[in-house]
Amino acid sequence: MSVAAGIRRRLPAALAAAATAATLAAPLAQARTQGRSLVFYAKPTRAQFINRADDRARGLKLNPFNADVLPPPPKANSGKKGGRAGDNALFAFKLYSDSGLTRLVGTAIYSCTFNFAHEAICEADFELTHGTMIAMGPAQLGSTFSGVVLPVTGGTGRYEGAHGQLTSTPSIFKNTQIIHIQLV
Amino acid sequence: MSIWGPFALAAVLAALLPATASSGATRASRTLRVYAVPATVQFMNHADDRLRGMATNPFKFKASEAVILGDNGKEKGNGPFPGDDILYSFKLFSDAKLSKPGGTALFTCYYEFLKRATCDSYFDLAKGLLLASGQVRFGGSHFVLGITGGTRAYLGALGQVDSVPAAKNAQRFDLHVTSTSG
Repeated sequence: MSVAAGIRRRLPAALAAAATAATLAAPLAQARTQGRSLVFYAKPTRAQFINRADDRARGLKLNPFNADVLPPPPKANSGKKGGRAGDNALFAFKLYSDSGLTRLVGTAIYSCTFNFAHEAICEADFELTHGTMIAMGPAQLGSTFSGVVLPVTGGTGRYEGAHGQLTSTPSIFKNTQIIHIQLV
Repeated sequence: MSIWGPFALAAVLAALLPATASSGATRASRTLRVYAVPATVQFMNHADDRLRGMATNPFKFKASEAVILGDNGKEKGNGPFPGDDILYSFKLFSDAKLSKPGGTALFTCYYEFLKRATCDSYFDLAKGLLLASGQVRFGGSHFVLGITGGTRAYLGALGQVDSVPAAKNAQRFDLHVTSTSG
């Protein structure tokens, strides 16, 4: 049998195998994450606050609304301290698998945009050893942080198709956050 | 085996195995209807960032294509222009008469071109939180968002949100929720 004939003979089977693998990849990836529960201990490493006071002030004068449509600045947004509507806050964490913070397993970035009453919508990106995960949702970022619960909306690598929720609670131990991820 | 034999086998496997792989999961659909009344709005005008971005940026594009400026050096029109954002908070009601409170919702919309925005929203309901994202045209009252997740009773939620205008200056949201539980 010639080489060309051999390729012709094996090609359909190879393509079939590839097609099968491609068809199965997504459900199997989802199956890999289903019902999994992960716990991380997050140690903050960096923070950046972005003050958008000028954009806010300009937006009150130059905006696409009619004056009667745009409600006046709400009382909820007039606190003396803390983020105001439109401000941004970025937080970086190192993630450990143990409470003693000895086994580093990844990093996380929270990118938050404040809305009203010191609440922000945060996108949390987790970069782990075998893939990434994304969670998104509201967080109260006042002077007392009591924790957040965010929906997990996706991931890559081992966490491809990840879906579920993330619960982050402060721990008095070593100024860390305990992050519990529940995947469905 | 014919030349199509392996493909036929692949087709059979493709039909069978995804069901097998997800056999531990159940999917249920439901629709929640809520009526939203705007509570607060904050518009963020990023004109200074846009102008700065024309002079200092990591790309090679013609500045004249980036921002439409008038003779006085200010932007023409009212926008919203690329880079602006709008934050809306809503009070939610479970009835069209707006008498039964049903939670709150918040939209954060980042404007791109042609007054279109990518909006991230969350609906804070009694039984949990639903997250939805998608494109919304400025001033448009009909739009559809994709539900990307949820918490508590809506853990692992997917689906879509249909939005249409309602009476009393309200907006009606139909939340078509598909839940997955393992």
